[in-house]
Amino acid sequence: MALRETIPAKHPDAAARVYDNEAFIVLPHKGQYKILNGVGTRVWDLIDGRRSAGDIARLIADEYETTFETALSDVESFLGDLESHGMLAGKAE
Amino acid sequence: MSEYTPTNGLSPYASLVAKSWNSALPMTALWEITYACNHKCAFCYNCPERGRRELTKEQITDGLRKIADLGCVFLVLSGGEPLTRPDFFDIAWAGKKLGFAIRIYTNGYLVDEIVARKLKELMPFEIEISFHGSRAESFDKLTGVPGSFDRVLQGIRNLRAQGLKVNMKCPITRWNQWELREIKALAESLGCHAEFDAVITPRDDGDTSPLALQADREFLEKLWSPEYADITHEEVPVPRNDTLVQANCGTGRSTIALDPYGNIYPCVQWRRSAGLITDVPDLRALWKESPVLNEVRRIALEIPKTTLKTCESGEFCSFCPGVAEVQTGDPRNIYPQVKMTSEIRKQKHSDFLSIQSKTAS
Repeated sequence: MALRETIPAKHPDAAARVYDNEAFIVLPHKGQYKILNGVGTRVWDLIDGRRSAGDIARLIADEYETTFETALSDVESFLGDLESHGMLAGKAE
Repeated sequence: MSEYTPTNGLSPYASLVAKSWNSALPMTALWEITYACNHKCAFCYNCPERGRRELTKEQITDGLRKIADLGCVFLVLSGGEPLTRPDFFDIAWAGKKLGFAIRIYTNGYLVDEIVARKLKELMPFEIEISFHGSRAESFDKLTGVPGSFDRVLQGIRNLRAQGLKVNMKCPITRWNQWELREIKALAESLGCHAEFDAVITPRDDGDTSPLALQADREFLEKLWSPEYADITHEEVPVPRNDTLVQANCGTGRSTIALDPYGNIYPCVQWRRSAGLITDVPDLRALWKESPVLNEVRRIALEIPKTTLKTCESGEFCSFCPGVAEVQTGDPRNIYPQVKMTSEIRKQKHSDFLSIQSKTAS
């Protein structure tokens, strides 16, 4: 299955709030917190366990006026970062 | 796109906290969900109102919805001893489901293996346990409960066995002041972090009797010398940096505090009620428009420019307007213990500079 078809979901223990367009994400299971920039925050917001990486990239491309290919590459890389930091529950098909 | 890169030289977290203070975006809600407690700590500041009913689980859960809407990410469940509430886990899970990262302030006395397992399921961000001595003699004397040292120690072991992060918080008093290194070693042997705090406050009703337990001057002079840098994490006391934030502290800005009756306070230390959570239909509006909260914010902004400027050692003051108000009647007044500690810290700072200058020449 292509990466773009994977459906990311947030880690169930992650607690997040957005302050002034920056998501502050607390990871109790890791004893850590992370702060995302504006675009990262928008992607985090779009992760709902239903949209695929491709769906998210399409929305980002529209909102930030970039090409779908660029947005997809960035979104996939970003999702990889989130996963490596334990912020995702795992990718469901 | 990944993590935020700071552009102002601050760590992203420090930058966020500064924003929280400056824009009154509360990140933390601290809720004392009960005043019931199984310890009788000699320095406790809580003042339960005899006969007044504490909020029910349903009322607290409803309040938590309002607090989530306000935008807090951390929910601190405190007391009293929060685990004495039979519905503690119902309340904690309600908070978790509302998206809070849970922190628990407990004395650890009730944490047996079953409670530790339930806490693991809850997965709080942090558990802070009040810890008062490296041996039963001093610990039990401070809690007023024989056997509490052994039982709390076992509670910590139970939590660590579940892999939970535990901070051991130690208020420094004259009964444990010479045991700090042993407490730190004990914490490390348990895989915990120890934090020490030399601030003892009056009771919330203004009774100053807990202040008799403050660490003495001889000890405090050592505490803020390089000899105790392993405890204080500073080689030398550093002056306040008021360039990052304008206000004296985060009161009415970074934290919202509530008591077991639902009173909303700007801070756990400054008990000016802005209303009852049960009566407030729109907490966001209250947070923004409350005359009580706005007054508190205004005073906190004035303090660095007035109180601390007129105090000789003001730049070394860790000043609490809530303590000032309860102790002197005015939140702008320097109170005796902050005067003493800031003088010591300033002197230690001067001593350090003087040694440095002699070494250089």
